[in-house]
Amino acid sequence: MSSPQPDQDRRRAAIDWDLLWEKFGIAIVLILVWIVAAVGTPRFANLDNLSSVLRQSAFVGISAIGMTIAIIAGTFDLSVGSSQALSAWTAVLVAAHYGVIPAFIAAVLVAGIIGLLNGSLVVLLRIPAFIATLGTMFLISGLTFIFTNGQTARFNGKDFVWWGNGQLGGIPVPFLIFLLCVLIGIVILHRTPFGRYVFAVGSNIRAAHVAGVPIGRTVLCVFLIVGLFTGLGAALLGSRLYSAGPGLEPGFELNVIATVVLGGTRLAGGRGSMLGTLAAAILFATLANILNLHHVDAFVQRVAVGLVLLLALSVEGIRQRLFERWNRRNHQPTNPAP
Amino acid sequence: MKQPPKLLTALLIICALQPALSGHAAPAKKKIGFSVYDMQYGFFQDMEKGTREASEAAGYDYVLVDQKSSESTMVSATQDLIDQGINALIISPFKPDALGPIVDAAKAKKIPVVVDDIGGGGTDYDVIVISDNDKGGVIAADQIASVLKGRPSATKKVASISCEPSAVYAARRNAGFEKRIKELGYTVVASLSANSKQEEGYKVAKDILSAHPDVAAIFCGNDPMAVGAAQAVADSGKSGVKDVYIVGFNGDEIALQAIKAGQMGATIQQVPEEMGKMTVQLATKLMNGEKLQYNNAEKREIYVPVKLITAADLGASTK
Repeated sequence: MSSPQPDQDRRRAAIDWDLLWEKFGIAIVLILVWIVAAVGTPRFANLDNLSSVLRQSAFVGISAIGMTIAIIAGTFDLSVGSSQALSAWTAVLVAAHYGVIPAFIAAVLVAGIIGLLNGSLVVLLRIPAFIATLGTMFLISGLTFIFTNGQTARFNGKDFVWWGNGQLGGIPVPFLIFLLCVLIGIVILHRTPFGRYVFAVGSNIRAAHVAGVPIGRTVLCVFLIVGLFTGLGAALLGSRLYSAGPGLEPGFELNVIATVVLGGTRLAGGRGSMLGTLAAAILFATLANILNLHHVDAFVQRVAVGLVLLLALSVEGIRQRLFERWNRRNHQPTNPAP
Repeated sequence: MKQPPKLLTALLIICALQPALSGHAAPAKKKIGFSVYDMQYGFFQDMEKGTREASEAAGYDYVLVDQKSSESTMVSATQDLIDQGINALIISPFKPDALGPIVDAAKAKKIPVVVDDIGGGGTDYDVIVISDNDKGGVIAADQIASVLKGRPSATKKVASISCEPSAVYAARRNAGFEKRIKELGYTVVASLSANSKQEEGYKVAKDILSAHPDVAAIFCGNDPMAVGAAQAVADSGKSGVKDVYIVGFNGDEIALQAIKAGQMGATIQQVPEEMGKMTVQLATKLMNGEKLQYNNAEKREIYVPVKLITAADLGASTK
């Protein structure tokens, strides 16, 4: 799937449309959607509403940053939903007893440990990521029900709930943290040796092995990073809701993966974009908001989300087919365009 | 002619005017927002119907969002409602514990909050509408007494199966039942919890039947437990109507079918449609700045009546 051979062909073109689409495609879609919504949806272009959309994009988005790195590395993590519930609950509980900073540290620690567990299962026991993280998904969600006794933890201390509900210069705090995390993600991917390893492992694991990339350590770190970001997002969600309990957000892991894929990161690994993930997270939050503003029936909303997902997944296929055809045509200049 | 710049200007103007247009152009009609627990369930479909019809009858704009059984969606979708400039918020919260940010956001915009059932989560809501659970328990006790009176062979022993202890409103059903049935001269030989679940209702009823084979009636705090208890009674070769009279609570479809099939005696039906109508009446009073008459002032509760459903009712309504 990670086709390395057309790279040379593509370089012949003056502008690499494929790369441009990968980097900015979804951002352009997002801008178009915002313009259409501003015109067609009453009260969309309203400061309160836009700030709600941006705030909402952060809770899935922050976890999606870790997931972007995981998918670029050719793996993924199904346990982020369970991990989110347990660490959000931990955050609320710790915030109530020990304060805000310990709460965030505890949440990130809990999810980080789950990430390490996932990584160890994949690297040391060689369980495929799909199975390993499916297993931990059930394991952690069961443990969360046992720890919490099915009860929701609740805390509404002002300094805690500010992180999920507050604003700084008119911009929602969770969104600012999201932006900061996107920056961190970009630095990790493009400015560190680890980032190069991630791309190498995801493009061609055998080649990476031959080139001396420490594959085991890289994959372990990838799962740890997924955990750390998920923990941070979870603490913010706990703060946003003033509470957290087991079964916090059904289908969260799929929302996260959908966001990454919609953002142009390839499920096959090796290529992906942090900015795409940022735009896709905002786009998903925007869609949910528009559907609510248009009072779309909840069942129709599910259909709409499904369609967007299918569209997102087919975009990658359509794009690849188009470029294959385009490249083929460039090989045979004698062949006139139809 | 160059169109794009003009189009763009037009868009920008529309964007800029948007808040002004929708905020001031039509101030006459008030807007009611309802955030519903989950429209998958019949109970909430009925509640929504009552809320919608009452809103429309009163001449309000009505907007609905669905929490889809997720506390995260509950907060984000309800926030979308509040951002739309509603004048009153009605909410049946999936997780009352997560009501905090919603009530705070509504209060910041001086929007009154009417909670419909489930719970208030200890927040600063204006009023919560719930079924008259205590009265429902009393009605169940009266029904059991009147049925047993006609049976000379029946003992004076009854049992009570309750929901999980954390379900505070449901606990009132069993409390109301036990108090009333004792007043009527019966003995409550067992009072146990089956955590609202059908399979646990079955197990608990089995235990009760083996400890007290001559128990004459069982009251259950919800319908799934009552259906489970009816199965246990049937397993022991008895009838849930003629031998051990079973009464549930809710008016769930499974219970209505069991009653029709002669497997259990009766249920106490909650009327979510009436609850919905009540919330709109209360929202109207709150928007007009009127004081509310609470059934329980300390907890700002208002009760909606419940009704007894027996096989005779189902035969008549052919539901």
